[in-house]
Amino acid sequence: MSVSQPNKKAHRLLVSLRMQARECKRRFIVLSLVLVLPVAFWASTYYTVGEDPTPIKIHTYSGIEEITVPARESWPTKIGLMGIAWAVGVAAFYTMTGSIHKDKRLVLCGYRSWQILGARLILLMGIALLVSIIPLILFVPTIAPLHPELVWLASFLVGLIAVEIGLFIGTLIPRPTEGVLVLVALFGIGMSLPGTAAHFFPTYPANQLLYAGVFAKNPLILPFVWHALLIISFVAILSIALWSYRVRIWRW
Amino acid sequence: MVLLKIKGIHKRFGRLKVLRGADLEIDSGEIVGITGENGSGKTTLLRIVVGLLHCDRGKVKIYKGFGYCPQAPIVFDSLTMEENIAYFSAAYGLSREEGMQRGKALMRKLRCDQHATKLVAHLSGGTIQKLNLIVSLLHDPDLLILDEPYQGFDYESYLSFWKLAKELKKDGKSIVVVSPMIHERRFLSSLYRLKEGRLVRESTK
Repeated sequence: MSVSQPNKKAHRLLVSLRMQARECKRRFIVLSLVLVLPVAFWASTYYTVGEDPTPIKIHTYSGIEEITVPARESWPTKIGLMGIAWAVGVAAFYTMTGSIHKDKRLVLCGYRSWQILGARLILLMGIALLVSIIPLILFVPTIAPLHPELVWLASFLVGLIAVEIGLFIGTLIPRPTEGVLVLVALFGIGMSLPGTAAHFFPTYPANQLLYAGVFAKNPLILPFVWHALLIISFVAILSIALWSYRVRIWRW
Repeated sequence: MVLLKIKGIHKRFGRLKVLRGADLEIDSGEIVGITGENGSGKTTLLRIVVGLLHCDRGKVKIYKGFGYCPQAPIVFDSLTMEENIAYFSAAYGLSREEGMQRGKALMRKLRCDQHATKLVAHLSGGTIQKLNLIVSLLHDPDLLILDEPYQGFDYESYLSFWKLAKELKKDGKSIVVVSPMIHERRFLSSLYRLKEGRLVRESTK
């Protein structure tokens, strides 16, 4: 007996989610590295960077404040956030490049491209959530941020942005070396740039939320959350459109 | 009853003209062989027929549901044979039970049911090729389009393949088999050679 028509779409999405989760579980070394990388990035700088005073700008409800904090309190958290972006972005990238032919066969057999991509998005969002929680176990007791919930939000949002960017680059540039180098450059430059140039990179709102969460007494939150959600939605729409084109079936 | 009609397919890759007006018509209950030298365009033709590749000119009409078995196995390495069957069953809109029932019967026919719960990454090339073929047969299609389906099979499995092909033909299904070497000409309803971008009919004797 075939699956009834109304349930078919949901059934396909759930089966795809289950199978992609199984594949992911069986690649537990990669998954562990994705989870550990941000902590390793953070810890390696935290214990080496020193106490030099570093000026930083934070956004509060009363405007932009410039404060000076020890390098150990600012730089490692930013590096940790960069670690999340790299780890999640590269994982998302490989879920696309490694599966294009298989996904195309699934589409040929009856799947809709959005069902496969939807399942992948749900799975990667779950991974981004895990990656945003695990480093907090170390970050929060060590750096004692003023708003730990904002540090989590910044980590989760950067994870979501990285998921979308990873999926998009994976669809746009299917060659692994070239694609990973673009991701490294995009997140590396975007998160290390000071000043206004950083505004043009997708990780900017998450960076601002992170500093506001660690240092601001009265942090400005909503504009950065909206900014991040706008980037996530825009890149998601681009990825879905490009992905559907890549796995399309020609009918004559 | 016509199941597949291909008319004037043209395809070029840069300056290289691979297909120059390939025509073919397949009726139900036929096994059609397509052969040709390496690089003659056999795989390109099949990829165009199933819709994986765009053609420059020409028409393809498939009148019923079809199954496609690609030349290089396209299955999920990190899943078991059973999980692959369940995944593709969902793609075809089959329930898990129906898909598994059919998958198990096909695994038995192709003599690989003992590997059902093994990860594809741990299987031999021949067994992966069998799974590749099983996936294309799961939904019991009227037309099967197979690109070198028995590549890597041992002799017993090769014979099992032809036995299965004969059973399908008896049930009124049609099969297109592409291979550079087709020895079992006696099983074919017709044989074509892809030569200079066109399909030329050859004797099956």
